Parts: sequence; C-alpha cells; structure tokens
Amino acid sequence: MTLEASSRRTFLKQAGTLLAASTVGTPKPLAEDLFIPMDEEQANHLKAYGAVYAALQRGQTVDWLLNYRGGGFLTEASQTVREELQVRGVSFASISAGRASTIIAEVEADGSNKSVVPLQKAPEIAVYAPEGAVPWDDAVRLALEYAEVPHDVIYDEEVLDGDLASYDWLHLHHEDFTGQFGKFIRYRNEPWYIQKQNKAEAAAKEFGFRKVSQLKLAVTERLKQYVSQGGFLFSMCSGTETFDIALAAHQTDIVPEEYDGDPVDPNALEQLDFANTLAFRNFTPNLNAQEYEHSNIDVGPPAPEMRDPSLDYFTLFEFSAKWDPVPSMLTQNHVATVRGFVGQTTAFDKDALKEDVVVLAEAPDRPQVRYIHGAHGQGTFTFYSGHDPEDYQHFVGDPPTDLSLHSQSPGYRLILNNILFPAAKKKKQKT
Amino acid sequence: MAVILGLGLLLGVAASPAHAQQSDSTQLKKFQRANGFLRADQPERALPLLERLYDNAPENTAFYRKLKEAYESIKRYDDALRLVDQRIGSTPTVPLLTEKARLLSQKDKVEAANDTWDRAVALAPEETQTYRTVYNTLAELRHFRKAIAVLREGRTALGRPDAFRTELAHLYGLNGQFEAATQEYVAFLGEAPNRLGYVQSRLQTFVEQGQGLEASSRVLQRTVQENPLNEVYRKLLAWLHTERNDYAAAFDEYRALDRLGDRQGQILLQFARRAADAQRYDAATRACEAIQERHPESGVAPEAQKLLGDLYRRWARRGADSTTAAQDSARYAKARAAYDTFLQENQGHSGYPEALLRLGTLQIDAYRALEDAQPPLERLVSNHGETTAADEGRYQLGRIAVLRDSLDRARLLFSRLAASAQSSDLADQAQYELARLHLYRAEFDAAMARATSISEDPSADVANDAIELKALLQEARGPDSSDTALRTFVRARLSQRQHAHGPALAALDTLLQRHSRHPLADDARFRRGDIHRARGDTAAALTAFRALAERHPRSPYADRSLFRAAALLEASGRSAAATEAYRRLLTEYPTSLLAGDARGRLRALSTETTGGMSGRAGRP
Repeated sequence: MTLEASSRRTFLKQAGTLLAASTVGTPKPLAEDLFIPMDEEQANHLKAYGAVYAALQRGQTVDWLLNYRGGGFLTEASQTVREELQVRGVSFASISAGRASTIIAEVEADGSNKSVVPLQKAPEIAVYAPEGAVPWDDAVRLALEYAEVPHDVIYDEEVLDGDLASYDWLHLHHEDFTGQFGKFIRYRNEPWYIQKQNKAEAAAKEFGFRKVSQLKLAVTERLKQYVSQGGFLFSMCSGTETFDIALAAHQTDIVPEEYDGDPVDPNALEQLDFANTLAFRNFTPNLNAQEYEHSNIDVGPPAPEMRDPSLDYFTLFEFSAKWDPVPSMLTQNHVATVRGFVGQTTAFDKDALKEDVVVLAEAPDRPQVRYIHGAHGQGTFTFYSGHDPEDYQHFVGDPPTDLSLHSQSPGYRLILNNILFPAAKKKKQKT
Repeated sequence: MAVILGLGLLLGVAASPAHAQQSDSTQLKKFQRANGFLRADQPERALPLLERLYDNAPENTAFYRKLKEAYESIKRYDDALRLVDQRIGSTPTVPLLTEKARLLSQKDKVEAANDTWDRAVALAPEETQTYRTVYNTLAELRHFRKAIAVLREGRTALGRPDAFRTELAHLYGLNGQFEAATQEYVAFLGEAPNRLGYVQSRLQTFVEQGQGLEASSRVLQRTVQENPLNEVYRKLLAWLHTERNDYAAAFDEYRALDRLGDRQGQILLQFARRAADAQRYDAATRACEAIQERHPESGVAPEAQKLLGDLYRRWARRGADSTTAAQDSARYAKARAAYDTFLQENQGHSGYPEALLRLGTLQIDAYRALEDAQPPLERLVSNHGETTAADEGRYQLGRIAVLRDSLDRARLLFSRLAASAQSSDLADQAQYELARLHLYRAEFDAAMARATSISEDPSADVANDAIELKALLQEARGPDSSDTALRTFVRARLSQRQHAHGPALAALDTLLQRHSRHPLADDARFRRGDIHRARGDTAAALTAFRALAERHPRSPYADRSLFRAAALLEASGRSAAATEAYRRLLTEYPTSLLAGDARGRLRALSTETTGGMSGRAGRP
C-alpha cells in the first residue's frame, strides 16, 4: 500500500514554511484546524472514531497522526465537524494552521517513528452476523453502534449471493465456520440454539448443501476470496480460529456426529490442508463434540486459580509508522498494555502462526499472541482473540457491555482502528 | 458388567454345551477386545476381529450391530449396507428397512432412502409402531418434513386423526410451521386439559421467536372463538397475550376465565397484581375496577379496592414525565377516591392502616391539602399506633407541621419519632428533619452538630443530605457575625419548601440585593429560576437561569442552569435556542454530569429537524 501525503498536508507544510519565513506582523492564522488528541486527554476515544468516520463521509480528509498523542487526528475546522465532535463528547482543540504545520513537521521529521496517514474515504462496512437475537454480544457491533458508525449486517445468504463486493471492510465475531453451532451442545434444548440450528440447516438446504458444515465452508471460501481480491477482514473470538479450521478441513469432515449426523472422517487429521488457511498451521481440531474448544490454536484462558483480571494483560508492539504503517495503524492506542479478556478463543498459540503473520500484541512471558495481522492476495486480515475487551469473562446470556462506561477502552480501540485502516487506502477495493 | 452379562447370554444362544463353552469364551474375549479398540478410537484394529466374529456367526445380533457401528464410524456405509441387506435377506422387517434407509441417507442417496422408508411403512401400515420406528429415525436425522409426512400418513392409514399429536406438534415446531404445531397442541389440550403446563413448556421453545408467538396467538384466538366455554384454551391464550405484552387482551381472557369458573374476582385480582408488576397499570386498574363492578361482595373486593388506589397512585407518579398534568391529576383523583371508598367500607381490613397512610401522603404530595391530609394520618397514629404504617404517619404529620410553619410542633413530632421509630431509616430521616429545623431557626451550631452526627453513618439513606447540609453551614456563614445572608437564605428555603413562592422570592431578592457577592448568590439565583419554573413563569425562569450562567460561570449550578434553560426552551418549542443552549453547555462545561443528557437532547433535536443521520443506518 502506498501512503502518499495529501495535498492538504503539503499545503500545511508550505504554509508553515511561509509563516516561519514571514517577517510581516500578521499573527492571524491562514486557516484553522481541529486536532483530536487520542492520548489520555481524550474524553471519549471510541466516539472519536465515529466522528472521524462521519467527517470522511462528508468528503473531508482527516490526517491520522500515527504514534503522535495516541494516534491523534487532524482535520480542517468546519462548523459541522466541530458540532459533531461536541455532540459526541469528543475532546478536540482548535489550532491555527501554523500550529498544525508544526505538528505535521514534527510527525514527519526524519528519525521519528511517527507518520501522517491521510484518510480519504469512509469505508463501506459490513458485519457478518446472523439476524435475530443471540444470547451473547458481538463486541464489534457494540463498538460500531456506540461510535455511531453506519454499517450493514450481512450473513450467509448475502455472502453466497456475491454482496461482499459492495464492502471495503468486513467484520466477523463469535462465529463458528466449522458448522458445529459454536460447540454449544449443552444448550441444545434452548430455544435460541434450536432456532439457530434450524435456520442454519434451512439455509444449507436452500443453497443445495446437505450439511451446515458444507454451507459454512462455502461461505468461508467466499470470504477468503474476498480478502484475496483486496478486501479487509477483521475477526474476533471464535470467528478467527474456526475460519482457519474450516479452510484447513476443506477436503475432509471434522464435524462430530452430534452436530451433523455423521462421524468425522477416519483420516480427518491427515487430510487437513494448512496451505489453504490464512493465519494458522499445524494445528489439531478438537473432534470431541462435548468439548467447547475448537482446536489447539487457542491456548485457552488462564487456569482458574490464575484467572485474575487484574493480572491478565497483553502488550502492544510499537511499530515504526514510517516503515510499518499498517501495523502501526492497527495498534494505535493511548496505552502500551491492554487488559486481557477471555473468550471461546482466548489467545493464539505462537507456534500455530504461519511465518508471514505479523504479531501486533502478545501476552508477556507466554508463548501466546492476542492480535495478529497478515496479507492474503491483495487484501489483509486481522485477528483479535477474546470476546469482549471490557467484560473479562462474558458468559452466554450475560447483558451486553455498556460502552458509555468504557468510552476510553484501549481494547475496544483496537477494534475501531480497523475501521479506519481501509480509509487510508486511496484506491477503491476491487472485489 | 450388565452389558458383559448380556453379551454372554447373547453369545450363548446358538452354542452347543461342551465345545461351545470354550468357543463362547474365546468369542467373548475377541468381542471385548474389539469393543476396546472402538472405544480407543482404533476402528481399523477392531474391524478384522468383528468381521471374523460376524463371519462365524452372522445370526448373532451383537456381532452384527457392533460391526455395523464400526463400519459407520469410519463412513464405510456400503459395507454397513451390505450387512443390513444380508440381514434383510428375503424377510424384510420395518426396523431393518428403516435402518437401511438411514444408511442410504448418510450416503446422501436421498431418493433411495425415501423409497426405502416408504417400503418400511408399506410393510406394516396397520401398526402404530411402524410409524414410530420410521419417525424416530427421521427425526434423529433431522429430516423433519419427511417425518411429518410419515406421521400424517400413519394417521390416515390407522384411521386415527388423533394419533401422534405431540410428535407432530414437536416436528411442526422444529420445522417452523408454528400454526400447525399450535393446532396440534390445542387438539392435545382438548383431549388432556390437565396438560396445560406441558403445552406451555413446549410452546415456550418457539414463542420466544416473534413469528411463533404471533402464529400461536392466531390459532388460539380462533380456537377460543370456536370454543368460548373452554377454560384451558382461554388460559393458554391469556398466557400468550402476556408473553406478547398485550395485557389488554390478556385482561379480556382472564375476565372471561373468572366468570367461567365463578371465581368471584380471584383470577382478576391475580392478573391485576401480575400486570402491576409489569407496570401495565391500564390493564391492572381495569381488572380491579371489574372486580368492583361485578363482584362487590366478593372476599377479594376490599383487596382489589386498595390495590386500585395503589395502582392509580403509582401510575400517576410514573407518568409524571410522560403524560399531561391533567392525566396525572385524574389518576391522583382516582387514587384518592379508591382509598376513600376502601376506608369507608373496610374498617377491619388488614390493609386499613396502610390505606390511611397512603391517603394522607397523597393529600400532602399531590394536592398539598394539609387539612385533608391530617385526619387520616391522625386516625392512623391514634387507632393503629403499633403498626409500621403509624410510624410513617408520624413522620408525615411532622412534615405537615413544617409545611404549616408550626416548627415547634414539628420538632416535637420528629424528636419522638427519632427516639421510637421501629425502622432505623425512619429514625435517621427524623434526625435529619430535626437538623433542618435547627437550620430554619438559624440555630446553625445545633444544625451542624446534628448533621455531623447523621453523616458519621455513611450507610444511612440521609447521609448525603446531611453532608450537603454541613457543606452549606461551613461555606455560607458570614460575612457578618449574625450570618444575615444565611439567615435570609434559609428563610427562603423554608418558604420554598412550604410552596410559599412569593415570600421565597422576596427573601432571595433581598439576599441578592444585599449580598450579591456572597457565596450563596449562585444558589439563590438557581432557586429563583426553580421557583419561577414551579409557578409556570417560563420567561422569568429563563432569565434567572441565564443570569446565573452569565454571572457565576464557575458555579456548580452553572451547567444545571444552562440545562434547565435549554429544557425550558425546548419545551416551549424554541428548538434552535434550545440547541444553542445545549451546545453552550457542552462547550463551556464539557465534563459536566449533564453533558451526556445534553448530547442526547441535541441528537433528538437534530433528528427532529433533519429526520435522522445521513448515510446507512447501523442495524441494531
């Protein structure tokens, strides 16, 4: 990806030079800008992403100042943007064009690990999620709704009908692409489980598949194709692990009889094709229907006696924004360590990662990673383990997290970094 | 152990005495080894053993079953089918054909499987068990449509339209045919009216889906129309209405049930309580009123009468923000009338003391009718003095004394209550009232001592109020030694509490004229705004609130004043000015506790004017 400086930034640089060189006593700025800090001074980090998105929607360019003040934003001052920031409760400062040019000069200075990335287009966002209520909550939908970022919700039908081409960014969360209904067999008599199973089976039949696992594999292959053709994929929790398990098992059946009515293939493990996966390799799917874990990609939560939210955390890698702009964008934050949180997929085994996968965050002193990024074809994928960054253990049936109580959440920021990341790409995605 | 013994018996069936014993023992060991391999997920080691066992004794059911199971575990469906075919031979049975069909289905040979199931049914169409056998396999494979077709065919063939009711109902539900499922359950209830609980539990699994709930309700409504005297159908329909939160419709059903069962209002009273818990006061009050109209002599009528008063009182309080004053007033009037009626007709009822308390409190808070409030409260205290309601009655009498400016009497009442109240919360409240009385009398040191004492127990409900009182006394004394400003201020506070708006405003004006720079000036201006607002003088209230924000921009009341000004502007239809005031609050007081509310109002105003956000809306 080429990240060129915007014409506006060039103008600011020139304006800064002119101001510095000027001897005329005209202290009035040529124009006014709005600076949105994203460090500890920001009152509402999550809403800031929504405000930036809204500005992009109106056709305004926003400069993302990577590694500067927690990944702050700079944009031209306009009454609309100002009011939008105010209404959302986002901290901002009006600064002169001269001050803006000084900031940009500082960020772009040789030897600094900072960089300016112009955001030019509000990406079209889709969330892959089933219709209707499920007794758990999707952290990204919570984040998008709290940040007031418009998005569409799509599911198997839309994916198989080719609707993905309309979107720049696709999110997955608590999904089971292996067709085992989340391995929630203990809930098989609950109305939501029955409904989910019935709907999935009906959808499979509608698209000509005998089993749900076959439908899900077809969906997974389409999603992978979407990435290879330039799409951006972000996934969390079991939506990461099961994605690659389904791809690896494309030539075999790893689904126990309890879920699809027939046993796993006798040589299922030998038939796994790790060349077909995005992020993981050499893993072993869990073929026991009664066990909640999908595979050994997930190292699982800490042992019960060690499961202490105050001790569980992971650290973000710091990248040079000039040399590694994409990982930098994805890790912008106002803290270096983020509180841990568990999920059906809690943390990835480091040994299961493919060589070209970039680790963005890892748990210290343990061979496990929490946040990874990689490229496939012309697109990229980002996987983030755990279920809800602000609910250490989110159980089935728990109430949704109230993000107004966590408006500065570093964990949720990582999700929202992903929605702006496609905005930095200048050309429209080809899908 | 039981399994092994069973196998032993099974192995012994075809054996001859002497040689057979040794042979049986060997076979049993081989069989157990094979079983062990299968349990260890090593079917490739189990298979040769089982195949040999089966070849030696193909008639042995245990060997047949285990070998078939082993083939299936590694998806060798053709081999499993071969075994079944061998067993079928020339004498097919329903279970064997069903088993063959199942294996064909696993092989994805859908048509052949369906043909085989049909053959199984055709083999013994006059037997109920035939359909059950086929249905069980189909349901296990989740072939719901075919299973439904087989059971329906069974009904016809057996000439029993009532056969397989619960099975069909369950299948229809799983297949999303909610109307059909409900029809089956309805018919089942017609035959077994005592199984209502069972049917509710079955319906529960799909009424949680909106579609299922609507479909079930439609069916039950038709059924009730056709069978108006059937109680169990009405019970089920009433339950479905409450599941849909349609308490008005549920009321109709419960009223009918009450009449059908000649329950004299008992069912209606139960429903009223449930509806009240769900805050559906419209339906709850209708139920209580129906009891009064139809069963005024019933044993539950007094309870319903008192509940009616409680319901209207709660409804009026809850609706204070969402309905017009006139509606609230009408509800308060109905509450008062209900309590009056109850008290006239039910002097010996256990709820009598509480009704006296509620009526007295209502007269104070809703009507400010102190003359009317006092008699029921005094009757409560004198005739029912040992009840907990009486303690609260004493507290309310103390309040009346304050509102009448009889501060000595108030002090006496609160002092007695503080010493004798059964509830510690009420005793704390009385203590706090005593502190306020000291304040009103300008006995500031005494007020401080009492407030300090109360605030030492942070668990007390009034601890925060006491702390606020302490803060006032610490910050607002002076500038002269007689604390003139504070004396004037507390006089205004007492007048405000007594709803004496004129004297309250006069006192506040005096304070602001004589001590315009006193620390109490911002509080005084805020109270002026509030008093004007209470009098309905919007213009004066706006002026007062705006003046506060201008003159005391750093006051803790500044953001609240701006918010109140904005709310007044919004209520009077001046949206642009309201928007500006909310924005000003956000700009000047971004960390205000009211910022979130201001943002919410701005969003609402923006939606009203623009019709919502541009672009695609996020689907929740």
